[in-house]
Amino acid sequence: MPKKTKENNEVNELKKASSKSTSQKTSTSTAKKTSTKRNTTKKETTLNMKTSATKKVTTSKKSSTSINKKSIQKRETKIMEYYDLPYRYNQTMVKILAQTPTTLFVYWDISDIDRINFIEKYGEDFFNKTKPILLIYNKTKNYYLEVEINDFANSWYLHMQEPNCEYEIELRRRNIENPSQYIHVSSSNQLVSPNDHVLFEETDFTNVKFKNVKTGTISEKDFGSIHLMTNVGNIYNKKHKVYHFYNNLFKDEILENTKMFSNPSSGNPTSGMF
Amino acid sequence: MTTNEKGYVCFILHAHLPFVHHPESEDYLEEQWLFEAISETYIPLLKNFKKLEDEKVNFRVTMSMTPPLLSMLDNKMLQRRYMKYLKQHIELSKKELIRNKGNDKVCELAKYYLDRYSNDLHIFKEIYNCNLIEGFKHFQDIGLLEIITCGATHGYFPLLYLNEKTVRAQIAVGVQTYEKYFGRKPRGIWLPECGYVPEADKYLKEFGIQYIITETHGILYANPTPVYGTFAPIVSPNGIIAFGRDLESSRQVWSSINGYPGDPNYREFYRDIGYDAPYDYIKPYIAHNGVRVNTQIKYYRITGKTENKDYYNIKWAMDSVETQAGHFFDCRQSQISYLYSQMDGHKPIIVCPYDAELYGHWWYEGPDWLYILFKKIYYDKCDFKLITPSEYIDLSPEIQECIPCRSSWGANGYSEVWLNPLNDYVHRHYHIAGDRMVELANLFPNEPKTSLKRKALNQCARELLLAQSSDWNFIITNQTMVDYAHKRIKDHIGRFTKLYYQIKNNEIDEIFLKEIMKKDKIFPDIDYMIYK
Repeated sequence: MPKKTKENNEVNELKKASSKSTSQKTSTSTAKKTSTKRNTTKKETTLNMKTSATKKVTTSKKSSTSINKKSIQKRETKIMEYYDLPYRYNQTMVKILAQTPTTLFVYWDISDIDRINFIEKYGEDFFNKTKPILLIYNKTKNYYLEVEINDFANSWYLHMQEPNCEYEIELRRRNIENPSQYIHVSSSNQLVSPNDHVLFEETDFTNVKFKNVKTGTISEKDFGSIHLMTNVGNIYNKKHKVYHFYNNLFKDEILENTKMFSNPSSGNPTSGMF
Repeated sequence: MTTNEKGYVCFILHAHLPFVHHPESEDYLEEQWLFEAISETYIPLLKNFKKLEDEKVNFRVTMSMTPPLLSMLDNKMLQRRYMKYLKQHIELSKKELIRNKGNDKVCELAKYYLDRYSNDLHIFKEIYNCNLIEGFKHFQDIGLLEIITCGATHGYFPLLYLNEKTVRAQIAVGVQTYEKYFGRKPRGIWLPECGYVPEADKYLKEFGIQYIITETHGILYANPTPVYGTFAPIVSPNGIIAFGRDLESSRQVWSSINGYPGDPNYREFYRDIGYDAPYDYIKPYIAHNGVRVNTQIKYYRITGKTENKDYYNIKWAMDSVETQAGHFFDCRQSQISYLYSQMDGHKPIIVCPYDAELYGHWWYEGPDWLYILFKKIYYDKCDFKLITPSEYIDLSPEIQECIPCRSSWGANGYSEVWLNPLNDYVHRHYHIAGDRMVELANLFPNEPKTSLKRKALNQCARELLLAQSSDWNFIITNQTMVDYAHKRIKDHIGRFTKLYYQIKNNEIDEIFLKEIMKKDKIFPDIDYMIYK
């Protein structure tokens, strides 16, 4: 696409958005491994889009003194700036981010050119005869599941059942009349969701690897003996319990504090630890 | 004083504020975040470190000083405005002495503020020649303080790493800024919001970073399970050492209900003459548009869960400081003795990371508490020593190899604070701008040093970095100064996008570029080629 055209697209999009008060919609969906059709609950976030503008205001002052017998015109220029974020970038893509170990955030777009290409290839009614679908591939557990989205949304929260998994998502269009027919639109980045528990059971304590960070030497120690295992257990039992205890305890404080703090000292645990 | 220690305590203070710099106007209240933090946290910390140095108390503390904070502390305009802020506070304290004549308790406090702000001005101008960075550098140079770096603008890695080069740039500029101010390479980094993703390891390694700090579950949920929990660091397969936050000590300090800062004798943050004094009287000292805001002159103590607050009594507050320092000391003694018995001869490390601004700004007496505690650890019979992460690594280089858990120290431990329905729209703009910056670096590599295009490309990098500050999304989630946070995201993405097209179309508007370089004056030595 020529450079100019793309820029104009973004600008046009801004103008369209400002004249129609376009809303950006965010939806939530729960995906369950077992069922094929999902219930979706929608939550809408409205962003008011205004046209961005920058304006130059130039004032001229005449200097009363002259240097080298030339009068100098001093120009003072102030830039009046106003920006808004474009509603879309007109690029075909789908991206995933992990909000929590089990909640993924997905956003997507289909460019105008790709839309035209689909219509040229599959007919005028392509977008009416197909539905947008997110195909979620859990690479760690090796299964697929599907979430039906809609053409009014450009992002979605997906609630997954397992943490600590690698995912890839494909944006597809599914034929409404013939649901076995799909058309690929775009593939996402790969993402690993965070872990949310102590991997005590999965760990082999008979073969614990240590690295000397000064020399690079690797050594292995056996923590499988009853004595050492008890010690590890003591650290974990005590601490692990404490962790959940604090977690519950802090909940009330978080609610109380977040309202009061105006200093953006981010991550300030008083304003929202755990 | 210890002879044969059983373990270590490692205090880490994370000093950070987002870059707020508005040469175009003095009306931005957000600039006061810096001034309040200087008067209430940074100067008090320096004063207490100096006292300890003079008293020959051998202490250790670690601080991360973020690039935006360093840039603001080094900014001449902000230094001038800080002195103006101090002069206004001195003037207001003098007026308070007159207004409260007859009320001895309040007059005593007004006099205290008058002395304190006058002293701040003296310290800032005469002792440090307006350069507090040098003050902190001194304590690093004499081995009492270890300073570490942070991401360039506190960008949150777990959501940025979709474009890994943007994370690499955050690290690269963080390290470069550190070297500029401290004349050496940092050994550690404070991951913004303790946001850890293993994908960042290789870049940390590339720029010579040895260690990071993670939230507790960054260690506890690591793979495989670390045998010593958070009481020893772990090392990732890429060679990055991770220290995890200790829960017990964190809670003692942080909890606003049961934690130390909630003591009834401590200064009440939420009673301020900005709200309490007659409107016409206080008007010159509050917001330019007449909205009442904090002045930081406060006369009451927390007292309890009541609206009827008692006057603040400095002596009583210092008594509580003593008691709580003793309590913290005793708790660490018993915690370390117990752990030492469980760790088969391995000496535990208790990692205590906090926002530096907690000490002094939120918890007014916090810097004094640190002073008393450090003295106690030095002079009393004690089973543990204060240590920095670097010293610990040098002493105990045998470290278990594990992959730390993807985590942060935000609410619920992952990314909800920076990604939720209030701010999720932002991330696509971050990612596109990141991709575009990489595109620019590849399209126009190695532009001549003095060329206009190079200037524009470097400014693009600055705008992208400034947009990425995790602070904006944090503020939006907390619903505090939301308009300002939205404005900053829009301004930086807007300026970036405008320049992006100007560069690509070879029609750079020099006046526009000059104007935004003046406003977003940060990282003067940045090289956009970090995005290539």
